[in-house]
Amino acid sequence: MQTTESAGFPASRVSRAVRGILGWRSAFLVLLAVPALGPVGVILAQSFDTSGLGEPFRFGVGAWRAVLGAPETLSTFTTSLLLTVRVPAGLAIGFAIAWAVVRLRVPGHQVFEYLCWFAYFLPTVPMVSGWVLLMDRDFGLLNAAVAGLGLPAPFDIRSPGGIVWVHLSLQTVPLLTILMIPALRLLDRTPEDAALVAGARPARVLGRVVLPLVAPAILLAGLASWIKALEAFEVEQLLGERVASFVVSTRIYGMVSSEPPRMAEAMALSMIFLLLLLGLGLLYSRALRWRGQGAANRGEGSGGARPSYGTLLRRSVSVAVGLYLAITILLPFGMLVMGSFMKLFGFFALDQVWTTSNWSRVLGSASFGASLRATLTLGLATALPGALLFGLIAAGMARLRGPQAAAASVLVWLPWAFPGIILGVAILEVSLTFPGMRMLHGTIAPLILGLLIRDLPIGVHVMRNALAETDSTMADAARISGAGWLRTFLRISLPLQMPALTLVFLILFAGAIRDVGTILLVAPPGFQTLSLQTFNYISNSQFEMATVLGTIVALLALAVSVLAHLLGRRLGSVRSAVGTRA
Amino acid sequence: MSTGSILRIEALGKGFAAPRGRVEVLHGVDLTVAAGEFLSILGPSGAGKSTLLRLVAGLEAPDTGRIVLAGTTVADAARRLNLPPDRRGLGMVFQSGGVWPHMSVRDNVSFPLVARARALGLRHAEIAAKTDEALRLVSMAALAGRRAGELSGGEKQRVALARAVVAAPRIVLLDEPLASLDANLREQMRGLLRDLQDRLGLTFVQVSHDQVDALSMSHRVAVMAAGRIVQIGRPEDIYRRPASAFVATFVGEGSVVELEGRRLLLRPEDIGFAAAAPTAGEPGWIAGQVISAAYLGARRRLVVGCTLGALTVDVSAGAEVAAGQACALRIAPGMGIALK
Repeated sequence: MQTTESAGFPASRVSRAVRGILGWRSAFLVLLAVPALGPVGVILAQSFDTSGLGEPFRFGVGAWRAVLGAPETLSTFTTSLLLTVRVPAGLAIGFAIAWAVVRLRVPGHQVFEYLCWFAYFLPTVPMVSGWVLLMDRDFGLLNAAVAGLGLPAPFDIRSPGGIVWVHLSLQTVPLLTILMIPALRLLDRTPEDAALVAGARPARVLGRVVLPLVAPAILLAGLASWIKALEAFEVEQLLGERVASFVVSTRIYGMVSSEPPRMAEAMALSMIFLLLLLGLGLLYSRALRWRGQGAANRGEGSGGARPSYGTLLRRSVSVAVGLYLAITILLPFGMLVMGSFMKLFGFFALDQVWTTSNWSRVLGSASFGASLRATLTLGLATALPGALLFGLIAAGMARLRGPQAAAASVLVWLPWAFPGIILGVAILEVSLTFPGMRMLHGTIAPLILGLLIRDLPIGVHVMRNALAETDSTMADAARISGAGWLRTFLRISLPLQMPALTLVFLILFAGAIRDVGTILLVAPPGFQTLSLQTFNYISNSQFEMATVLGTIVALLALAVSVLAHLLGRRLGSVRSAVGTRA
Repeated sequence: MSTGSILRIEALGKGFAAPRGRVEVLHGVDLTVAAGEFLSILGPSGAGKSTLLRLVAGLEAPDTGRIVLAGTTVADAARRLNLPPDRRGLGMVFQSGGVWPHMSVRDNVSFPLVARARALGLRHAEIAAKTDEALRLVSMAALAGRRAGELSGGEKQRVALARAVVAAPRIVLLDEPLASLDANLREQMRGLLRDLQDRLGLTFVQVSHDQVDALSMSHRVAVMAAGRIVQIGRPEDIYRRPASAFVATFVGEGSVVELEGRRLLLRPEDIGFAAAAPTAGEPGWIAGQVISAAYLGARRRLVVGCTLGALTVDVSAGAEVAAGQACALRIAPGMGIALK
């Protein structure tokens, strides 16, 4: 008699041995739990370590006492929460743009959708300098223009309002638009058409029909965006310099980078922050399942349907959306490029304002070549194995049922709640503490690990969506035809998923080349990506050099966004491609 | 058709987790299929027939019971045994075809042979020859080099059929294979399926909710309802001697009436029709009035109200009958199917 075997999993010798002990589903869950729960465990343990540098672990609660007793703890949490006011604002604007793109199909809707993708892939750090050039209190062009009218300067980019604006324009709105476009595309347009035929005006149709139907998707997008908004680091670090320990993430960074490092305190603060975010993460995971159960609202979608709204309305909305996106995305991008040609960043009153020497200095420097190589190496080393790994995890998850499927879903989404800076700290601790991991210290392996853990939710989510939309009988037919799990995966599932895999590759690649928060503390000496170098330039107020590097990274992102957009369209829209920033 | 059984299903049970508790889909199903037989499992949506087929295929694991395939136990819930699909030696045609769009027609069809090449001891030349033969059987040889994604629905089903039979499987499972085809293609495919089954002598197990598919192609039909097989037999037996009111009304058309203290099923063809009210005293005829008349092409279907209730009656398409018209019905002695 044949051996006992469950349908649908590889029968390699290694996995047989593991399954002999646990069963493959349990082994799979354990493997998922390592990246999901590992960082939490490390942070928790280290928060109770009161030993000094190089000393063995010594248990104590001193760090917790210090953090809980410090008045800054409450103020940083409050500021972090207050700055998330951008999420509801972003939801409103993002939904309006998504509605204009999908339901109104306004003239230029494809360009608008592409611009959101472009903004999503743009590196945040150099784009900040574009806004600085426009809205700096002292030399910002917009302020100068207003001052020319004899009025006081209205803008200050280095204020909470400025930070909210930068996030809103470059991250929150593009991300939420990208998230809501697929939800609107999947919505059956019959109820909307029925309301229009019944005599309702567009505003009533939107308020009474469309909004209630897509409410679950909007709430879900808002929750995902809120979690990411709480974790934001780079913009706050660069623009919040006037306020010491401005938000939680910058305070953690301050503790870790102080001399000597206050690691235990950083970990205790991280743990409190993580508990808040994990709560939100679990809520998000539950909301995802709730939305999955409420899929009855979905119809055949309206991708190719003829719009039923009036021409005047569509044209007016097109102008409004076009203006908004031009001001919030193209204007700072243009300023970034312009800044790279300025002799002295922000000084428009010089005799000779423009120069190409910034470019020749950057392109001629030895560090540029090294940084470019480091950027491409990190991007490829993360994206290639990452896309395959996430594809395999998604395929494995498709085979789970009941409580195991729910557990896997929670585990995969948990890293969504890990702020990049905390993840970096946890990985730094692991690579310093655990004997087996010490050999990785000083290599780029911890960077790759951190980036993969950070992008695990989005990568697996895209792959799971793609798998769910593929006819399951394709793989079933291969199994019944005599193909084992591996042959089925390689010959059938993988080729069918190639567009989604390529999209995940691009998302990982773009995420890796623009990342700062996750790799800032883990990067080995001498290993500096273009984004890290840009971050350092801006931190040292060397904006001229930063804008050149920023433009180069932005052009790389532009190429990636073109590819991602084309693939997204081939997939029928990049369905629920949840971003990694907010 | 051989008399030895090739598939034996014993006390098979299966349930699925649902948002509001567990849903039991199959309740202790027993079924035996003879080698070379064409068996259709017929039932309404939700009867559990596709689940039954997926359990046989190994795509699901049973909660209770066992499945014996060609003398080998391939699934046994008590022993937690469930052989994966690739080790059961089956072929299957899905409703959507399950044809791989990124491969050519030839690669689709040769796939089962390539996957089992080592087990079957096949060489390249043999694989090519068997693939050509299978393509010829379904008249797809001319399109062998075309990408499967470029085929029409009917062509895809032909490719799926060739793929299912190419490795001479123990059983070919057909999961609503004709459901996505239009009426003409369905008719063609029915002929092709019967022809293939006859020529190759393979065992076919088909799942369908379409009684014409089931009755016209099968040696035997198993009717399923609510996770149980409620009757199994030759198509004629299922139609003329239904075991219950459910089978009587699900398979074929008819009206259930109370006559002389018995519940009877009257098929439309069992009832005589005259387009005029019966003359007084004419024996065997009862007066009626046409409630509705629907033109169906080859015939006209009437619903006639009479003392027995509303009866469904078929008349020739040329008959000039309109709603509201008085008529006469005749039920010959011995006609009608007694229901329990």
